[in-house]
Amino acid sequence: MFSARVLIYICLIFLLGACNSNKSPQKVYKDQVIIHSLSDPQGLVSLTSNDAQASQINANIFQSLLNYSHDELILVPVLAVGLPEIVHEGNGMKLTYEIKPEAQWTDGSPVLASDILFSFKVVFTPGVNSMHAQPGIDFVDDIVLYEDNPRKITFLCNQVYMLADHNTGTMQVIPEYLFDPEGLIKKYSYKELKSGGSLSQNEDIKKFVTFMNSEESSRSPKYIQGSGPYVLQSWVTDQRVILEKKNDWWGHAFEKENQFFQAYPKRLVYETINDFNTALTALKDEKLDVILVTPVKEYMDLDDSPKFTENYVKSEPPMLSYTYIGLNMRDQILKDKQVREALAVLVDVDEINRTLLYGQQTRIVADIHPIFKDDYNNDIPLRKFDMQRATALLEAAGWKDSDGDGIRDKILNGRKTPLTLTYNYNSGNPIRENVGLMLQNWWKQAGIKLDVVPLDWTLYLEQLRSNKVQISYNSWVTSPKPNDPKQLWHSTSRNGGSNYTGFGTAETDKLIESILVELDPKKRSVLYKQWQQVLNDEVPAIFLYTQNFRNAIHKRFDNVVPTAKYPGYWEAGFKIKEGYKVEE
Amino acid sequence: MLEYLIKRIFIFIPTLFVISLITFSLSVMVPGDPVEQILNKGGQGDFANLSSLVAEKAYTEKRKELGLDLPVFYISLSNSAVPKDLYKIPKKNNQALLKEFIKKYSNWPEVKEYFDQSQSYFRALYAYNADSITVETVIQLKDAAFGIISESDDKIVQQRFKETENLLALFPNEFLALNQKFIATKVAYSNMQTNTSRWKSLIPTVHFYGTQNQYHQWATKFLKGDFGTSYKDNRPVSDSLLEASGKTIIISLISIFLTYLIAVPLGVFSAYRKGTTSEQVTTTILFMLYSLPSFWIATLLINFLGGGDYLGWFPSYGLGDQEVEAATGFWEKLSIRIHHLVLPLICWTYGSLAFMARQMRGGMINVLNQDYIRTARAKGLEEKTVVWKHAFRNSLLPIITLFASVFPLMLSGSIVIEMIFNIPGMGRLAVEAIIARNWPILYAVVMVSAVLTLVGYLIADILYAVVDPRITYGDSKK
Repeated sequence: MFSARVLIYICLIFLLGACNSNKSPQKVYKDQVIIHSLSDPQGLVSLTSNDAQASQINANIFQSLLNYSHDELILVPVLAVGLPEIVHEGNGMKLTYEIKPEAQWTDGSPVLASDILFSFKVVFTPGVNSMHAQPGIDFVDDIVLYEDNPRKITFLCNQVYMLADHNTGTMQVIPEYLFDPEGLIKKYSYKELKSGGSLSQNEDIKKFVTFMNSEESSRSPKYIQGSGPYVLQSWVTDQRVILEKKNDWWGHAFEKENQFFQAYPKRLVYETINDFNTALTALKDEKLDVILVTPVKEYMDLDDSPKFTENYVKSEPPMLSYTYIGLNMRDQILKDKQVREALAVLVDVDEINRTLLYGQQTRIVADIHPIFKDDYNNDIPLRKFDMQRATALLEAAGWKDSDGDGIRDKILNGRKTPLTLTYNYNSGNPIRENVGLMLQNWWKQAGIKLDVVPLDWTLYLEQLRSNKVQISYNSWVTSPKPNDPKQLWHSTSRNGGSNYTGFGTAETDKLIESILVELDPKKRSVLYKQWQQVLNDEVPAIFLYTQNFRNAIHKRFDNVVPTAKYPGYWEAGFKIKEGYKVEE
Repeated sequence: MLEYLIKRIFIFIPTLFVISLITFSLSVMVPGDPVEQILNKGGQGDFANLSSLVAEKAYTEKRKELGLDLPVFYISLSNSAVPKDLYKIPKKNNQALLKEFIKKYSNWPEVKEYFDQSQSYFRALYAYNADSITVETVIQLKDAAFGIISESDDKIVQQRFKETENLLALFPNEFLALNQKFIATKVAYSNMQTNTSRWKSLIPTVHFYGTQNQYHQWATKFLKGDFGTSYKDNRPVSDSLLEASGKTIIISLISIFLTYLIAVPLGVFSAYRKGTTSEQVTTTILFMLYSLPSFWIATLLINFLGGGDYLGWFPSYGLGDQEVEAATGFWEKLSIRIHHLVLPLICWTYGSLAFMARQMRGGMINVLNQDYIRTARAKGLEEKTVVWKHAFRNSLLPIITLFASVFPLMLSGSIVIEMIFNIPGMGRLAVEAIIARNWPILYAVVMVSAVLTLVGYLIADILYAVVDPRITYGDSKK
């Protein structure tokens, strides 16, 4: 019969396809590293896109004056000859850098101070999608170039700021000759652009803004090339970004200086796979070399797979991040410190860590990562689950179960109010949901009713920003920079900012400000310790833990330096171990 | 026939219009402000450190660039208390607050006056240079002021007023100017409360905005083929759409072809052999297939056949673009593609295949019981001729009806499979756009799906006439 024949043919074709996979006795690998990414980057120029994905990729293409060393997390020179010369002048400071004379763009032309000035100007050009980069360098008042030395640049700041060298030094530099060949913003000074004014109506500026915000400037191989070891070879949307190593990169001569001058694989491939299950199957099939596994259970289960253990090793360096349960201090129930303290001793953090996170996390007392040994306050003891103390605190705060319904109550503003709280989390996040349910269970035993309510992400963010969420679960990923508590805990950051707990008095603001202007790390450590004590005493949040990266990396790679910097490794530095064959 | 087709195409236009309206109004009603979303890059940035003036300017400019400073539609239907130019107020939450006040007090001039006064007090407070003595009070004043400008609940507002009053009284000399602004705010508030004109809210009003509205701008651009640019990466939507739809359509077509190719003979077979063991086995298997969810099957297939811990017969994801690029001959390229397509195609096809085969079987059984089939057999015609020539054509009708619904289903049904097999097609594009609130992409995807659905129905209609001579369209044969 016709159909039967066709069926057989189709089956044959499928089988032929199935036989396609060939396994050779000793596998020959390509000279490349394939890295999993969950989604495409927005663009590859850090000045106009700041997602984590973009920053991982463009770190191989563009460089900055300085960068954080992978092991010690201290600033080391990259484009710069050395660390900046810092001079105090009046209330402000001056930072002077000199660029390495060897530093080159892809076309062989030198990296000059004018390129750095250009990059800083781009950030403040009105209309360019670079607002995320503005707060970090807002303190830079003016920038000076020198006629006698085109590689020297000075940043003038009107205030003393502990992050001055960090923020000026680590901003990525893009080549002026590629991004502004017509000199559209050349005639405007940094100061003019920063003050904005009516410049956004100017034709040249408009043209430049359109270009900088365009698809072309942020994803075309024509523009995605800097002074770094790699250039963009191709980008297929939602599939992969491929970087290719430059033939004779100037940085090879500095290979011994630091990791940022080590670049070995011929190609870096960033493969986008949205679904974790699929990505893990692809990993076991050796289709991926490196993956950061966010779901904890899936990560733990990998050890049971012989294909995984045969070819991969796990790497779990500490991650610069911290997680806390925010308590809204502006809420009429939570504004009482005794209540907050009671809630804090009613959270068994170790239990959460054990049951939900396989004991993978490290506990913290406040917002400083324990990896920064000098700054972390070891004198503060970690809170223990203590029902008795919680009950005593609640009683002392006047919360008693007067009507015997199992829920404590109190007269607030002349009205009997039950001790009912709401915990919000962004829907679709199982860890956050389960934490909420665990809290609900513990708190119920102490006579507190907790409603666990998921919110859509946008709505959740909106509610948090307007200080309407009573209890929230928050995670922050930080950087090796000295911790700047302003964004989360200063009073100016509430009412629309990221200070979701509504924490802050004039006194604590002052402490934060004194940290920000303290340039001496030793003195700053003392202030940081004080700061952690304040957070611990005031309990604006119940600090939980800090995470480790959960990376899996192919065994054929050597020189894998685990680092606390995102994403936990430096792919360009990967070398091939002996005994593995690589295609010539 | 032609006349009917033209009529049908004319019906498409209002249908598409209504679909576009629904999508458009959804985007307006969904919480979240797209301008803030773009400026804030998904909540990663923070503008607390920037002067609010800079942030406000950036907001206004971006809003204008996106065309969100225009009224939403040609007309707005509301009560006479709602002013015509409410859309001009920047920020979605401010608009929502004003709407609340209008609903309560129905007196726009007073509401507007209160809004302006409270904003002006808020700004003055944020610009106030506090010294070491007043600083704590100013912090508390700011909290109270934030409560005032973002609340419509009278109780809370009054409470904030009281707090502010007490705080301002602490340093009457220092806060003289602030106090004046605050008093003006309070006066405006009580004016708003007393001079109500509730009757206004009972009179319905229609406001006309002309063509300078968001919908018109979008629709005219859409008709010209300009779908806008994606919020995520600033790429033209049409580029993303073309890339994605190509893959989905090709896979869908192959899948539809396979479905019909296998389902039709299978259906005929099981109808003809009704009651035999082989038929019962086939039917049971089809039934099982029909009830298995495709995401589950897809996950199973990948895990067991996709090179994980079990069999590595097929690649685990994607369409093998890189391998195809590296391959040389046509046959090699084709075999790589087929190799990659096997698992997704199985998932794409088996559900509709089972369904279609069941329908075909039903249709065929119906026809085989008809008198004219008995007649044909009585005439001594060969069994093959009876089944394929006499019965088959007449049993095709239900299958054709299904074609119309299979077409759009292919597109939406592909969402899960595309996510799991990591195929960057329309389904994945749509899901990502929904998660990221990427409206320009979402509009385009919805509109394209709508057009495809309508085309599917049209094709089905034409096929009816082709298959069944009894069906004619129009009244030409009266």
